[in-house]
This record gives sequence, C-alpha cells and structure tokens, in this order.
Amino acid sequence: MRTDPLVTRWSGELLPATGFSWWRLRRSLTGYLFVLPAVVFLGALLAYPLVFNLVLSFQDRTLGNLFHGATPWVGFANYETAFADPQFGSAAWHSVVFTVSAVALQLVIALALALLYAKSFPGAKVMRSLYLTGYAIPIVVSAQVFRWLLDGRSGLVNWVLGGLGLESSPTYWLSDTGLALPALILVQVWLGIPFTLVNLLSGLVGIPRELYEAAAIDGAGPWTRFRYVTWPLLRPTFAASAVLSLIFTFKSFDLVWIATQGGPAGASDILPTLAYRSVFLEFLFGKGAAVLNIVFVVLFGLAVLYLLTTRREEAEA
Amino acid sequence: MTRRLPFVVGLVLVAAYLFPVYWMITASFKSDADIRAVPPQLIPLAPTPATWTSRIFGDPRVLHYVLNSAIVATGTMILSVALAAPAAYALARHRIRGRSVILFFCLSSLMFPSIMLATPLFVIFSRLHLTDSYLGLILADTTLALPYAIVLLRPTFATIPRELVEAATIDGCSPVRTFLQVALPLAKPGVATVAVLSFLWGWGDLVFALTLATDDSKRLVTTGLWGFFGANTSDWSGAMAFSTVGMAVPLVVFLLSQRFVVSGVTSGGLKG
Repeated sequence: MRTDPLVTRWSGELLPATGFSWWRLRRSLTGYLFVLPAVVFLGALLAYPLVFNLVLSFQDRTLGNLFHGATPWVGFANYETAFADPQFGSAAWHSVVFTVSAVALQLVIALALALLYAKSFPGAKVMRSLYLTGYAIPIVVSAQVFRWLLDGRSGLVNWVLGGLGLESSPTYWLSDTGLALPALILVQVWLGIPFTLVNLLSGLVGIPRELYEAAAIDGAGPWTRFRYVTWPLLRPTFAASAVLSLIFTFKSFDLVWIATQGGPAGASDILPTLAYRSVFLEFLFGKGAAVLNIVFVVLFGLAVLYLLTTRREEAEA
Repeated sequence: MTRRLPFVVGLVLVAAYLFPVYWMITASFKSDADIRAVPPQLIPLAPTPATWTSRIFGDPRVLHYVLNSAIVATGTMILSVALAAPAAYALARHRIRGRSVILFFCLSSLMFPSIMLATPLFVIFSRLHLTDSYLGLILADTTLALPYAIVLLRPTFATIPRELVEAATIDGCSPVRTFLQVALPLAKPGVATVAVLSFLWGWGDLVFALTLATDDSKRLVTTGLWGFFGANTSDWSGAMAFSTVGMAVPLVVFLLSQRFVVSGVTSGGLKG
C-alpha cells in the first residue's frame, strides 16, 4: 500500500505521529465521503449491469420472463446458439475487417496529416483545430450526411466517379452486398481521423527541436530524420492511439446502425449491431448478452494491450 | 517559398476533410429539385429557406427534441462533474484504500460499449420506472461519462500546489470548504474539459436514447433524426437541415471551449 506523501508529511511535521487525532480521523473520513457518491453510482449503474449481463448470458430470458417469472439456467446454451448462428460468424469477421482496416488507414492518413500540420506555417494552428470539429459532430449526424453522399441516385460520390469516367452506371454503395462494408470502413476512417491526428500531433510537439537541428547538421535528409528521430520518439504515442482506436472502432455501433443497420442481407453486420438486433428487436436477451460478453472479452484483451503499451512507454520515458 | 507549400496543401486537405459538413449545410438551403440537380450545385444557385421553415421551424417536434437533448446533455454534464470532481480530488489528495482498484475500473470502463450497458439498464430501469424519463437517460449517459471524468480530473487536482491546500487547512478551513474554495477554482480548466466532453457525450448518444426512451415525448435529436429520416428516406434536404440542427449545438459548445477540449481528447477521448 502506497502512503500518500501529504499525510506522512502532516503527521511528521505538524501533528504528533503517535496518539489518536480527531483531525486525522475527520480528514481520512472526508476523503472516503468524497469518493463514496461516485463509487456507489458506478457500482450500481456500471459494475452491477456488467454482472447482470454475465448472468443474463447463462439464462433463458425472453420478453415473457424478463421482469417476472422463473428464469431457468441454461449453461452455455446461449453461447452455443450464438456460435451456431451463421450470422454471428459473419458479423465477427466483419467486425475484425471493419476495425483493422479502418484503424490501419486512419493511422496512415493521420500520421501523414500530423507530419504536415506539425510544421509551423501560417494558419497551421487554426487548421489543426478545424479537424477537431469532426470530433464534436454527433456520429449520427455524420452518418446521415455520408448516407446521402453515398446514395445511388443523388449522391455526390457517384457523380464524381462518373465524371472521372471511373463508373458507367450508378453504384448503390450502402445497398450493395459487396460494397457496403468497404464504404463504411472509409466513413469510419473519416470519423476516426480527428482523434488520431490530435494525439499524434501532441506526440510530435513533444519531440525536442534540437534533435532535428542536430540531425540536419549531420546531413540527414527528410526520410532519415523521420526514420531515426521522429519515428522512434513518436512510436509510443502512435502505439497507444492505435490500440485506443482499435477499442473505439471495435465497439462502435452508431455509424453502422444509422447507415445500413448491418445490411444489406447482413453484408455489413458487425457484432454490436447483431447484439442490438438480438436484444431489442428479436428479444433474445440471453443470446444478445452472450454476443456482448464475447465482444467484451476481445475489448478486454485490447485494453490489456493498451495498458502494456502505455506502461512500456512510461518505462522508456 | 518553403512556407507557402505546406500552407496551400494544408488548406486544401482541411477543406476536403470538412467538405461533407459544407455539403450538408448548403443542401438544407436547396430545393428538392436542386438537391437532385445534375451537375450538383457546389454553391446553391437558388438558395431557399423552404426546408427550414417547413421541416424545422414548422415542426414543433424538432424544437421539442432539441430541448430534450439539451436537458439530457446538461444533466449528464452536471451529474458527471458533481460526482467526479470530489472523487478525483480525494483520489489525488487523500489516502483512499482501494484507490488503484477504483482507478483501474474507471480506466477499463473506457472500453465498455454502451450497447453492452443498454440491455441491463433497460431491465433495471424498467423495474424502477425510469425508462422514458430524463433522469433515466441522464443516469445512463453518466455511467460512461463519469469514470472518464475521474480519470481526467485526478491529475488536474494532483498538480495543485500542496502549499495552497495546506495553508487553507491551517487557516481552519474545513475539508469541504478547502475543496470548494481552494482546490476546485484551481482545477477550473480540467473541470471545464470534463464538463464539455460530458455534454458532447450526452448530446451525441444514440444507444441509450434508442433503448431507454422509446416514447416520442422523450425522443432526442439523435433518435429524432433517425426516426424522421430512417432507412428509406429520400428527403435529403430535410435530413440535412435536421442534421445541421443536430450539429449546431455541440459545435457551438465546442468552439467556445476549444482550448479545454484538445487536452481532453489527447487523454483518451470519449466517443461512440
């Protein structure tokens, strides 16, 4: 148990270290009283629901016995149902493809943008913050705008592609089984760029200017400077925002639900939309909970990866 | 010369990035025929407020949804700050048993999908008659805003000079007064960050609004947008006008508080 330096200092310098002190008791009680409301809240509305979800995934719950009546234990039956459902397999695969490709593209683009906007040129600061406005816009709104941009009849994307001669007949991006998921991946890249860009910029700003000057004196070109100065120092930030982006993208629901609801014919179904449908449209509470717990296990793995990444970063720093 | 090239490239790229936003706003001022015009009108040739007067200002539900969203987002902001600030202060400055457990739990909650909380909260809130209520939505949104707020605020309180807190205590300030009158004012930038991010979170939430408030009287802008312009819409002008409404409030909040938000985003982000 670590001791709070403030308390040790108090007891060492200002208060008799031995004996009972009302003041100290009051002080330590106050600390707990300050934390208590938040802990009670999180216990009741965050920890308990997670346990509830876990229990739910081993029970047979439908609308009929959701609030009243017996809830029989069914062991792993819900998980078996979930795994046996061919939609689960395809949704899991889509989730992986969606997450990995969106994050990979997003990182490459954001890194290129960060290297550009980290330079000091007039307007760089304003431009940096303009990207962040994308972060303030609700995903529902962005998704709605992209639905129109990608619309087959009046979408701008088709017009541009047609004008460039890349397309002879209109493409119905979001209602084409082969194109819905790739289109959503590109929209997700747009959604994710502000977060990654801001993080990478904060990492780049932290690199001491002297290192570049020294490298320039040694005659290092742009690529050598990136390879031997920027990249090694940016890598911890890069790794951390990569893992965080993986987590956010893997659990994201809003974009896919607004744009396609997982369709057409499940072509863009991901695990969160599958779980939502199971619970709130098909009322298969146990199966939905089972799917969500599987999502949770994946996210937990990613979170451990994140903690390991940042731990190593701190150790190296 | 070398400074002009990055400027031009940077400007072109940021314009391209924000183009969808521009396209959305201009579309709301186009007539239905102009929306479908070939070639598309980059600048509306005959801008008309028709969509705004009929679909936005002419439909009382829109204002109702905006007020609902404002209530839920403000409530989430107040509740998150009210619970997180004292907790973060105590976790930074008091000896709390289980501190690392609390912090680990808060940190790991960054990965909980809201859809995962929606099922149990739906069952719990149904029993407590909290579905279709502002309070239910505020509580649900706070579940994920609060841990993030604690993680973000704790370092802010930890950087307050000890001497200030000690001096207040020696002067006979009670711990509560020390917190409210000494620590809290000094942590203002951090508190502002947390307040803005919880507001944006409450405003943008779709999952809880979709699952916990199905009644039209408690519908929010996000679910309203989805309800009006669902899967089969072709009223793009109306959809873009409503989208502009959904964007306007968070954007204004964001622009007014930008310097606070950047630091918040870099320490983990809270979205989706």
